[in-house]
Amino acid sequence: MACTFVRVASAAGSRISAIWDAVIINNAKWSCYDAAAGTNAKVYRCYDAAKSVDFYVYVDDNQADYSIIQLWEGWDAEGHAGVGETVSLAGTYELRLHSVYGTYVIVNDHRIIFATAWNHLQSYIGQLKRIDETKNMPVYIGRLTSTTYYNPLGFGESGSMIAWRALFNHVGDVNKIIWPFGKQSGNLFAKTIAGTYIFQETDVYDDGTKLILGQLDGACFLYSGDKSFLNGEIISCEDGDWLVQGGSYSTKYWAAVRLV
Amino acid sequence: MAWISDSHDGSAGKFLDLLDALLVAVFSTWSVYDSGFAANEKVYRCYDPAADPVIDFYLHVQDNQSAYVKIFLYDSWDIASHSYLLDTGCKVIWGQSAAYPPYIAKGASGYYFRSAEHDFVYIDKGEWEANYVGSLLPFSSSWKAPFQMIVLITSSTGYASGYNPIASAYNSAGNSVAKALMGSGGFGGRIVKPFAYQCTYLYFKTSDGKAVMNETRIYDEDSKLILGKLNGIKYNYNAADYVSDDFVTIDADTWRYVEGTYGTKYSCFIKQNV
Repeated sequence: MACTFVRVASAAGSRISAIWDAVIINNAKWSCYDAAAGTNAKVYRCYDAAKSVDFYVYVDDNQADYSIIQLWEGWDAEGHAGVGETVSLAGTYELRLHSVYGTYVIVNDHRIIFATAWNHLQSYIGQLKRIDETKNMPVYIGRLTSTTYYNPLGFGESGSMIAWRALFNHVGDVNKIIWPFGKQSGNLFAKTIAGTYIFQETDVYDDGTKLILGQLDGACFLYSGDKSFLNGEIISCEDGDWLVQGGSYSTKYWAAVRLV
Repeated sequence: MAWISDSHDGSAGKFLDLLDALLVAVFSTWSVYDSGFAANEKVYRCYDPAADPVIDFYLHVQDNQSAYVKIFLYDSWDIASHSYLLDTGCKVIWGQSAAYPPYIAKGASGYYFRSAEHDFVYIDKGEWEANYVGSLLPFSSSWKAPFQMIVLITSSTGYASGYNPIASAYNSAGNSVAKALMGSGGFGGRIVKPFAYQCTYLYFKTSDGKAVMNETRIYDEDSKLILGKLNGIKYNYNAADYVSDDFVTIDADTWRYVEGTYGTKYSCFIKQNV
């Protein structure tokens, strides 16, 4: 696993050059699969046959502050088109992953977490810590088209604002809504009487079956409420340093991501 | 550390017999501290000077009636006067108000009892009510509260309602009591609540047909600070995907499912082998 702090210019193509090509594909399980998917657009593959992980991330980076993301089951690098199933939309809304200016990029073999100083947004692409590791179930947790900046990892699926989607659930259903354990609870507290904090990787369940598919890998959902956090606070815990952010909306929706 | 399934006839004194046999006779940490009462009433002490932090609390148990027992929690006791020694406020003698003292249903339909050095769980199989009495576990192996964290999560005058106390953990009239002997700042009789309290999305079944079992953290309602974890307890609130007495085996651990008979099925899991 690796955590890298990246400076990203507010310009088209800057996420591809500064994050995807400079950081993410340094991990052997991630590669650039189609470098000619369009102007400022590339496709990246996450592949680990031994762990039943195989998915493609189409990145359209023609915007200053965000990339349009699509998750694909397969990709035709000659035709430059997706193959099979996809999460290209959440409802009618395209997936917009914001990362600009200072951004933590936390990559491991199967997922990426983006935590950006700009509006304090945390996003997640890739696998959960899956209950059943024979199932390929990549997820997208990130923003959509709304201009209200709720923190995606701290909030949950909601209209045009945020998507929590799995390309497949455990029985192969496509583009399924997922939710964190404790959804919409204001009673997810993390500070102890000893002045320490406990961040637990959050269970994630399929909204249709209500069955838990796995846990957020290095992320803890905390939702809103009086948490005594500050945006951008880094808290040292027994299992490493955690970055806490709550978005820039007046009501903060908190989550913590482990910086390792 | 034992898990017992048994029954009694629910009459006066039966709960004391059970505590004598399953706690006092088994653990050096549990003792009868004061038996100088008229009938069916005792004070038990749980004392462990080797624990870090030291465990030391008193349970005044009044068992002179059928179907339920009254149980009160104190930080000291005076044997001579058979009463609370020094009122520091560190006591749990009622839940929502003085009209609602802590009760535990002890019907004749059978029970589960889980004993441990610093806590016990009593589950009445008639109403499927699970009660927790005693110490919380530390937050983690190296981080601990600065002083003992003792809680009483029981039923109250509504003990026959089927309102599962651990799964509701709510100081709601006669249905349940959930308080700590001392909360943050050392304040006595603090209301405590479980992590994700009253969240209606606490699903626990996994895609492989099992369940996720994280011991539930308990926080002080006033300060919102986490005090510790319930020993071998998973709080589900109203997520109810099993039937009472079902169990899930995870690794070598058996977790018993308890769902109160009340209309809203408040449920929890109890790890049998703590």
